[in-house]
Amino acid sequence: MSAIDQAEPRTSPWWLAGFGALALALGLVLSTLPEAAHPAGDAVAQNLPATDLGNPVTGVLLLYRVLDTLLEKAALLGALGGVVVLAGRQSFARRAVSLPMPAHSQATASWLAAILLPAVLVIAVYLVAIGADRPGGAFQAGTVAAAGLIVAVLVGLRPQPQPAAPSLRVAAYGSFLGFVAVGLVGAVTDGAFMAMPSLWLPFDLGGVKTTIILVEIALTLGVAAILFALAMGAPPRLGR
Amino acid sequence: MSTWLLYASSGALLVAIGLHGLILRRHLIRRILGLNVLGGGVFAIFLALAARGDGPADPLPHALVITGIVVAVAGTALALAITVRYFEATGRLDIDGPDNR
Amino acid sequence: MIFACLIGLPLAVAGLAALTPLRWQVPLAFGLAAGVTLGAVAGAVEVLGAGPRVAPMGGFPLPLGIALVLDGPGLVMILMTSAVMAATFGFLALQPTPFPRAGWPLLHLVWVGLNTLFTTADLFNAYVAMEVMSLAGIALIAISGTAKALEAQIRYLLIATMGALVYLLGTALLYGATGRLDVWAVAQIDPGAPALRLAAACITLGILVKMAAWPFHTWLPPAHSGAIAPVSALLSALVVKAPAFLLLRFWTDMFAPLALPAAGTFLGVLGTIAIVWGSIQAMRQDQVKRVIAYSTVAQLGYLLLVIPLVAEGGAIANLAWQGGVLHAITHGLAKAGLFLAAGSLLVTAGGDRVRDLIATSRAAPLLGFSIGLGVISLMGLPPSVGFVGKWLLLRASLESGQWWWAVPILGGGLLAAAYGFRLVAVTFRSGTARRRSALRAANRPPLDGLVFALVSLPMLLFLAAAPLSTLIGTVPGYGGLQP
Repeated sequence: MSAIDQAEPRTSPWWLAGFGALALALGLVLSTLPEAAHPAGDAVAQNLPATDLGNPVTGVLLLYRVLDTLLEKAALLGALGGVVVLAGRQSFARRAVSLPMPAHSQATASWLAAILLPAVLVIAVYLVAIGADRPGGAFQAGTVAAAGLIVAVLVGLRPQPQPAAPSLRVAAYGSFLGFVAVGLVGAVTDGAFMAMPSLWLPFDLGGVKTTIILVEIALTLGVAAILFALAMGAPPRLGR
Repeated sequence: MSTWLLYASSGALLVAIGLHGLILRRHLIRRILGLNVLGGGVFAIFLALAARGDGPADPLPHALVITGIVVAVAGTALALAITVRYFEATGRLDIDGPDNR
Repeated sequence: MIFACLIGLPLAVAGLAALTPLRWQVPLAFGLAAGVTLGAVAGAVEVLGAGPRVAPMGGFPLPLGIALVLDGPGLVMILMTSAVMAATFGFLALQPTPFPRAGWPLLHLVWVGLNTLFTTADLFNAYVAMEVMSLAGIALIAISGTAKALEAQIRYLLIATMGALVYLLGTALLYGATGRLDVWAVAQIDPGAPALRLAAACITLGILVKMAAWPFHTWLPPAHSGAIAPVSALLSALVVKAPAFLLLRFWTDMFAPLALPAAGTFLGVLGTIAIVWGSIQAMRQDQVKRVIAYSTVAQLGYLLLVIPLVAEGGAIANLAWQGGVLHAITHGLAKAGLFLAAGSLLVTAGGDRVRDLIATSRAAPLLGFSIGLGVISLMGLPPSVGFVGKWLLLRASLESGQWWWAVPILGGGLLAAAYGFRLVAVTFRSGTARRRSALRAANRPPLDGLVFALVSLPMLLFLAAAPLSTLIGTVPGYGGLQP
């Protein structure tokens, strides 16, 4: 029996009873919570009209609690750094990770992917474009774009990238640096770190909203690059 | 019973299932899945809490859950990358070997 | 502006480090250390002059935004972190084995998480910061490249992520009760409410797992001993300390009404067991780095002992709080110094066991002396500022009537002597003449002065104990601040 499909020990009834009791206790405690309590959410609803944003979730993510969003990107970069360290510095074969399939299926798959991938790109652009006003945003758009890139590798349209490839690194860290820079500019202009400043721009969609949309576009690129690199993972080492 | 409580209780059940997988399973992939089920349960509870009361849903937990999902993705990706390397180095997919006191 | 230095600067340098060539890494890192230190000193000057304050991020008031606090205890922890980080950067710059380029941004990301945890007053922000710190820290373990390190890494990652999610479950319950995420909202909840109790249990359990409190400590020794020495120093001195500091803040502020008698005593008992068990294991270890790692398990126990003492309130709480913070910074400096000194000696000796240290002090007397100074700090003897910390804890324990905590406070020092002086004694053993000449001939990086400077800091701080206490302040937790 290989390590992949090893047997698991049977869970003893005591453990099962314990986990059941845990779920029950948690459910009971949840039932004691008040029927509505969201002063923070109400504060968002009161303050959002001043920003011209239509999507309150974007307001929270990129304005009121933008530090969390910045740190969340730092968490992604931490994981990416870990994958790069694991990949090591030695060169590795550009082994295709495309799905194993017969030649004619391969041809069909790449033909289909070549047609659908532009549509995926359009969806990603749409998601980031509407994010300020309706459900959508940088993470959703970046995820869709990354999925498109992963499909392109799986059907053999693209070679598997190194997690530390310069293009991926520039997209991942460049967008992140831009985001940090906006927060630092806010510290200078508005006197508070991570105050999203109203940038001076030749075009204007209404103060802070412009800044948020620009940050979201940058983050979409960054998220797409990071998730793509993470999904590709540490490529197999030579000689094993 | 309120609808939100039904969703929240489902989240509680997911938390228990996830902890079960994480603590009692040995296969690393199952443990990583357990971690994700646990996370899903916590996120479900947050979203259920957002749906309480009348009027529009509370946007704050929705934003928190997006952040939480990104963090969970980062953790999962790193866990899987380490698991692949660990399997390459040792040929094993569990960490309950004899010399792990 | 101060938070732009404390959090924004490490974020920016992490990005720059990833995009610049290897030869830029050391100047960037030292620039960062200087910037954060300047920011923290500016913050300390402000706190000493105008008192601590709540700093709403982006200027958004609660409950809309995230609140950080600019207060003495957080700044003291950040200054200690700066010293450890600067020493680590110096070690990496001088050591002969190359440090991978991808490692530098990870160091800076760990620092981002630490500084946020030391200042945050927002439960969800603390969750994200803990994950940034843990993920980047765990990623750094892989640099040693051994199969054992991989196993330690995956174990650490699984358990740390579980701890974080259990913590987040507690945060969800508190959000359900108050609809807010700042620590001050918790005061609105009736202390008898089951949601508050379960939330306190989840948050505490999650942090206990992350800080490797007994009995959740089993992941720590393999992880901290499996990494390369400078990474071990960061993990052991800082990465487990930040969650422990947060737990101390939470139990002396928002969970204070729940602390006595049962919960606080329970945590104190866990701390006592950690001190005894960790010390005994440290004595029994064969590998040098495992001795030091188990010592971390023991030393973190003191931060749990502080909780039942601070819960007494009044003057006793002040003593215990100041003692706890002083102990935390002493341990951070001494532990990082021990890992760097041992790592440096083991490179000279070419091995990882205690017996490989034989006669190493003959080749590097300053490093042997540094290990001795580190052990003195861990024991809490003068002239280390750790003595002041232990003394304050002891007074708090005797004056509160909870005299029984004096036993682990004093006994832990003796246990630290037992496992610590074992290391010191081995380095000064004479060994064979051939071994001595081989050690002298070994090519050694010029790290002695750096490590010595780090372990001397607790001795210098002993002279500054009075201003340090003023900075830490007399009100435990969040310093009695109100948004």
